[in-house]
Amino acid sequence: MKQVPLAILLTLLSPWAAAQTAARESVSEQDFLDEMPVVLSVSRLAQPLDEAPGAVTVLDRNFIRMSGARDVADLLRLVPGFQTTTSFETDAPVASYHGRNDDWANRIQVLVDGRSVYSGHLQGSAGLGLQTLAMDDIERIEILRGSNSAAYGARAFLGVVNIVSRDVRDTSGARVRVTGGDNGVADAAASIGWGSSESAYRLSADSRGDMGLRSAYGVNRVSRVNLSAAMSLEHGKELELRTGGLGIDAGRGSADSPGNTARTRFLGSQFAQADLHVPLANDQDVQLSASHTENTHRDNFPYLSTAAGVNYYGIPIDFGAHEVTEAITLQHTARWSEQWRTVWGMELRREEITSPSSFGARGSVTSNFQRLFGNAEWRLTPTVVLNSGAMLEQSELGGNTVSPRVMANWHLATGHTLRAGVSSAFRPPSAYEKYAAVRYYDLNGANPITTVLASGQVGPEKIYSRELGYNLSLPTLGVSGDVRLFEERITDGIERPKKAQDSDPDDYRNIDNYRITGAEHQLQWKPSANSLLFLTQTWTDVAGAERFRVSHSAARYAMSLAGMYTTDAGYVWSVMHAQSEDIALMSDSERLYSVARTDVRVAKPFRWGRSKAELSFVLQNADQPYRDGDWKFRFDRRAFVSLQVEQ
Amino acid sequence: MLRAHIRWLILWWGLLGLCMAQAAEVVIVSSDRSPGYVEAVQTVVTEMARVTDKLESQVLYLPDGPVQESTALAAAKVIITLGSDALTKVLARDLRVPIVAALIPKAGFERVLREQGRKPQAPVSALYLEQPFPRQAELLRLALPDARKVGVLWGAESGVQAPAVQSALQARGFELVNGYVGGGNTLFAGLKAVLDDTDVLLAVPDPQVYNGSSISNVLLATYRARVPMLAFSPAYVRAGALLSLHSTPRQIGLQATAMARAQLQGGAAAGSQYPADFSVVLNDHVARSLGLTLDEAVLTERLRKWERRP
Repeated sequence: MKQVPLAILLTLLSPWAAAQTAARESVSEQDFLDEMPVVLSVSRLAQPLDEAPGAVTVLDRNFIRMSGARDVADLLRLVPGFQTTTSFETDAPVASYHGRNDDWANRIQVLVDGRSVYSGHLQGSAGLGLQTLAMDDIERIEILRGSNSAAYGARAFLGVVNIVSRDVRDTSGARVRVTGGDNGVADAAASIGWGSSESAYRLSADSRGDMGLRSAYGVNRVSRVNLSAAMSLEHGKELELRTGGLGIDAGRGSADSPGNTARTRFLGSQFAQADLHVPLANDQDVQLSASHTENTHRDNFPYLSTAAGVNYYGIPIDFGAHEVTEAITLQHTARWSEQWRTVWGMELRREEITSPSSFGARGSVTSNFQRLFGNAEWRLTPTVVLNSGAMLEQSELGGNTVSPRVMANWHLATGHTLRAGVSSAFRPPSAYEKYAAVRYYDLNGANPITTVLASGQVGPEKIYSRELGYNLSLPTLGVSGDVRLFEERITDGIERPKKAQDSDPDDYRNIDNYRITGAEHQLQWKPSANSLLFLTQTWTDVAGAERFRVSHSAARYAMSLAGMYTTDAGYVWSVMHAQSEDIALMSDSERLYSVARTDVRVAKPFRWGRSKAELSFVLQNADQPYRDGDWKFRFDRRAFVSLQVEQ
Repeated sequence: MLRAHIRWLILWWGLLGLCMAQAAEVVIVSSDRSPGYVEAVQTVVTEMARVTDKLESQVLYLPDGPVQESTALAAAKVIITLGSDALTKVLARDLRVPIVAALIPKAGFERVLREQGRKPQAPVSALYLEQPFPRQAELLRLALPDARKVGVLWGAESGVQAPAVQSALQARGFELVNGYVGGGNTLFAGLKAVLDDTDVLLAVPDPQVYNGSSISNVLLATYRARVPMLAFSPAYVRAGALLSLHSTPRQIGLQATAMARAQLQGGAAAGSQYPADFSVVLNDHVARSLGLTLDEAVLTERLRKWERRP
């Protein structure tokens, strides 16, 4: 854990932050004439959605709370184009955009306060990373729908989920929440914020658990601690420090599968991160970030089957690994004129995965990445904005790649914007896909059976995408939304080739070539300050994929509808419905399913002494049980009650 | 460019001062040599020369030497002070010369008079630096027609103005949301109280609330809450406030000259005044980022039109 160095750093920095010039006591002309440092510098100002170079869904704190969702992946079911599961079977609940190519969801970038959180050992999946923050600590989630490696790195192959934590200066005071209900739902969370406006801190801890999905094994519990600090330094500089630890104990396997016995598996992640923001003169900014992440995977169990021969009965199976990732990023943002804005930067990243059980004699894999990226925004005319950029990446895993992107926004009239763009991107194979060598020895330590043997003959997979979009933004009517028509052509997709015999080891090759086309839209309407409607619809067609589960990994048609209303008596009602039609599920390579889920939440905020409190009731999946991600697992109706008190 | 101007000005007026030290009818005493003061000085001098070419004026800068030794002050027919220090030093001389105190906020002016302890022998009229509250409230109405709740962060000194702000806001249908800083209340707590449920933050100058160290937190907090800020100086707009309503040193210089001339022409002391002319400055980038469509020139024009109303 990195708390010790951080604590030292905080102690060292506190007097620095506090030793700022004492303010004058009385008002004078100096108050009117003094110069001020630039605070809302170019990189701190968010781009309005109708100028963003792509389709963006923003889920803010209010929406997150009213959804009643207990984790981020579950919330993403309400975003157009997303497929989600609450299952912990693969790693942790995962979300994918425009389909999954395998058990893992590794084609989207997930950033938590700017830190990329995928796991190289879990084949690039961001399931573990999606659990980094407690829901109450999230300010907003920005989902960039569409490939954007030029701005967000190689992992932004199909899209980006950008999770932004609450600013520590907004969370002074204490907050406690307890939740309990059906299916063993038992959550507790506490958070405390302190400090001054010069240096503010937040410590939050939470634990959430339930009995998981029907037919899946065991109890799932996610426990987290996060400590954040923000310090204002002189001349508008700002330093943010974060550290945290996450542990997931989740059930896996099943009692009637002796080769994959029911057991508890542990996934852990710890990180420390520092971000320094330096506004420069003349509309320029520099941001320097450094992070250290360690992921631990513990999954050991005895193989209690004779399917591989009696000599293998009882041998130990170990899926464990330890991953260490270091990253340093430098980013420079500048506004050169009313017409030109640029962002460029570089990233150095080192990933080291140690797993004798996954990499055989090699034991560990170290990969270095060097990335250089640049983007320019050119306002050709007051109504036309052109965005273009590229990322150059060099790595042992993926070689040298260039990912360019161009997007044009044309403001037709106030509130109406047309968008068109093309991009290409590469996803380098994960360490596992390139170097896996999984062997099991018999009880005498001889006669190995090789289940996975990566030939290493695998390069990056490629995507070429084209899109046409429309953005609607009429704040006076409370209406906003977007439409996205897309074609995403994946070539050299990484896939396990068909085997001649079942006993042959799995390999990973660039063999998948397919095309995802379709349309999606979102429409938000706020008829009044106390009501909201959010509708999304997505039509997707995957053509050319060999495997059934890939061809149907995105629903032919999916929709979601969320409605919220606050009554005059102060009750906050919300209803969320999501459904997917004709989608393939894990463990079944033949049939298509339709799944639907409706949630209802009602909450009543009230005063409790001097504290603000809220009591809420959530009913998840009001209707029949639905199959969640996997054909075997069912999500039963569940209800829980939550009490939150904050001071 | 500005430095060249200043250097030229110092040289020119220094020389002029030497030649006519005994003869100047208008003496301008400036607290400082920084650009804002120099711009006001330059405006007064130029304007005086333009409207009455026989009028002689002299400039004294406090950093150049104590005014106690200047003989020009006692011989002047009117003194224009720029800034609080200049007024303090001139009042300390206890002369029988009328004073126009410019480039000074109302609270600063009243404090200097109070601290002086004795009644001046000649009339002292002030030209305040801040804008009248009805004008500020009107700009809020013009710029943000949908806004209903206006937050104000008060410090120990500015708090006394709350009733005036309240009535100006109420007259235009706004509701005032108060936050307090100082006396056990941190900026942190004040911001939380004021940003929780407001549509716009109206900045009222108070060094306990708004200063070089606090501005970063204030602006970041308002931006996170998507609450735009109406500030009192263009420096805040460069820093990230949405709008500023203020009078430039030039506008102050022009009005101070007119007040001094009225005094010279034998009229009775004009009494203290708020600035008649003003500027509106907009941060386009912040506006766009907050989804607001505003035009600096249009706002200025509409506010001027409102001022001219019968």
